Amino acid sequence: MSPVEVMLQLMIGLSFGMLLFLLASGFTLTFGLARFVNLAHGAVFLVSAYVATSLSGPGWQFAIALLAAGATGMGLSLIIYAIARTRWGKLGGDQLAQVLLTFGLLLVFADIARSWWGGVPTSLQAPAALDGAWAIGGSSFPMYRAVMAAGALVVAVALWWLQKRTTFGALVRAGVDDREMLEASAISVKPLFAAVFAISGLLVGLAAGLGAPVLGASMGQEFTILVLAFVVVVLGGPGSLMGAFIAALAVGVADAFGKALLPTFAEFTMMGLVILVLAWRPSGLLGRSAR
Amino acid sequence: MSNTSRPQLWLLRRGAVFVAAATLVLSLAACGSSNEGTSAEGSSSEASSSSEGDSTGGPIKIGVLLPYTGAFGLYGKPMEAALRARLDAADNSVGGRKIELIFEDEATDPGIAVTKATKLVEKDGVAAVICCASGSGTLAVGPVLSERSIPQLGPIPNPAGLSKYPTAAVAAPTAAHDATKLGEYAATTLGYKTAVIAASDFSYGHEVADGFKEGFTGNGGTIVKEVYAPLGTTDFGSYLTQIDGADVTFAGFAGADAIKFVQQYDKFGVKDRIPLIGHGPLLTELVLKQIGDAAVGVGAAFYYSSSLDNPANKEFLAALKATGKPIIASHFTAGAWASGGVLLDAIKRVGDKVTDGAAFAAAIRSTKIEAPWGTLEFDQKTGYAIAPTYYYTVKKNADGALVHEIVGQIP
Repeated sequence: MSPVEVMLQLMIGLSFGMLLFLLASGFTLTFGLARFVNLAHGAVFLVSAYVATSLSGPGWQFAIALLAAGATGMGLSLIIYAIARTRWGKLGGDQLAQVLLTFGLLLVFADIARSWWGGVPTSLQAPAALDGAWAIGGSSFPMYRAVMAAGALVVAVALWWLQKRTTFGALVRAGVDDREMLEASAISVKPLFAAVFAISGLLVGLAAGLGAPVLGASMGQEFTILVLAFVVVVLGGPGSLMGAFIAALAVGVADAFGKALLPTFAEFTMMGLVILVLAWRPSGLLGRSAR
Repeated sequence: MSNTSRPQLWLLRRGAVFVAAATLVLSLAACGSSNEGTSAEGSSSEASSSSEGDSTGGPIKIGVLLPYTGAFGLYGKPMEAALRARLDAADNSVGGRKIELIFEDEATDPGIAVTKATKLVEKDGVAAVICCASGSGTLAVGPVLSERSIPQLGPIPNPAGLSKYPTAAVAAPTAAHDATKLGEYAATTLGYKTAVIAASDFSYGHEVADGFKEGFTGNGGTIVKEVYAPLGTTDFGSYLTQIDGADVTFAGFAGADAIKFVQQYDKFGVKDRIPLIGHGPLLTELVLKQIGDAAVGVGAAFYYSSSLDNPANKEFLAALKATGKPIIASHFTAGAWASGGVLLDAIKRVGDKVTDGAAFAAAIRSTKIEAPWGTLEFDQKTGYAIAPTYYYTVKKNADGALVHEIVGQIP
């Protein structure tokens, strides 16, 4: 591989990795704080992506599509929380019940999307100003990929600020570390959980909208996205945003080079990375026991 | 700290729980869809119960297996509408005998397809079965119908595995046939010397890739590289950067993969250096609008395009419009329409011997009608349709819509 090719693969990998972070960050938040395995996450992505692509239009209608996707994600996530809330006493500590409930919701959401949008794959038009390409060596790199990565980076920084610099962030971090202690300090975790679900949905909705010009919306995405989110979260360590960030970029880059160097085994490179990291650190890169 | 190992156990348990839950729910989903079928069947067998026991005067029952759920779920309803439209045009009867269609969901699952095919034959007593839209379903149902001597008619290009059943026929050429023709055309008329193959890493992709390779290398062309991407690839970027140093790229993708591949082929600037051609589904009417301007100038070889200018296609397009539903004309709906035409013609010729499977199958294979893509007749040896292969490119017409521009028929 020439240096130019290496750089190109690195850019593809990092831009895809940024998107992976966005779609997995919400998953890791609910996983870490509420100890809630939200398998419906993939379907929230699917529905948000369909909402975004159905609003596809010329120019800056893209911004409307993006915001609508974020709002859809947030709304659906709150619906999931409201449903879970009705039986929180039973669901709280029971992962089997959570998995069954949210897997059921995943199927329901996905089937609603199928009947509403007819199951046809769709795509979203990026604004013309962002849709060019940069020439790199003999190849070119689509400008929108950089925009997508930059957008995801902005959200990541905002998330970092929220978590590290605000009271709300401090409460969330405390909840991740020791929920019993937090509750013992007379802080109600219910509104905190609701806010975390809302943010989680917003993040995955934005990921769906921002990624739509590249990934589009199609049936089956609910599972592919869920698997990607799982890979990133397990690799990074459940509940750790920094871990998810590092893991997402690592997965993106590994995937890009895997496809370029060993196209036949491309699907394996991502999972190979998971196996290696988990053998070394069983609870993920920045997981709780690694401290 | 005693709880340092807790997160690990916790994760392990979650993994096991997830797998168990997924298996459970998936099997529940399978049961659910088969129940759905039984309830639908209840009403149809009731409707026909009055004519039971009267083998000559009653309606001729034809089973239809289409995917309404699963990966191919989007094709079921439009295909059903097109098939119904064709039979409505003939008043649902041939020579005074009514034809009754019984629809079932193959669910894009070969296991379910076999169950439903058995049900159609043994419970409903159908004379023939139109099956299926998914290749795996078609091949799985093949032996079930063949051993009961019930004719099977495939409505769209199916894998080349049905030839061994004398009672089976497919109202379309194999996918490999059109891809082979394109290989020949690319090496001769289009004048390309070298090609890169990029295709889906499953049976369809390999079938068209092998077909193209055979036609292209058989006419002096050289394949410089082959890239196979898994079904449902999210990002084609890294595959695309490897496409270089050839006169043309042949692509074998369908559905959502086709949209992403053609879009990203353009976005990564590969289209400016190397022209892109492919097998029909890459640019079918179902995905064309979603691909957008990235599709302009891309070429494909296929037996059907809604842009074909012939009386049978015009009649088909008008019939779709008359349904009042927003049905897209594509090889799926055109194939369902043509299958209806084949049935009507074959039943007319076989007459009262329609319950004799071998005779009905022979009548189907000897059908010669005008289909939306031209004259449709069957290869007596293989049972697959002999159809023309057209080469078309995508252009933007005056009102900004993307359409196929037929360049010509590949001889």
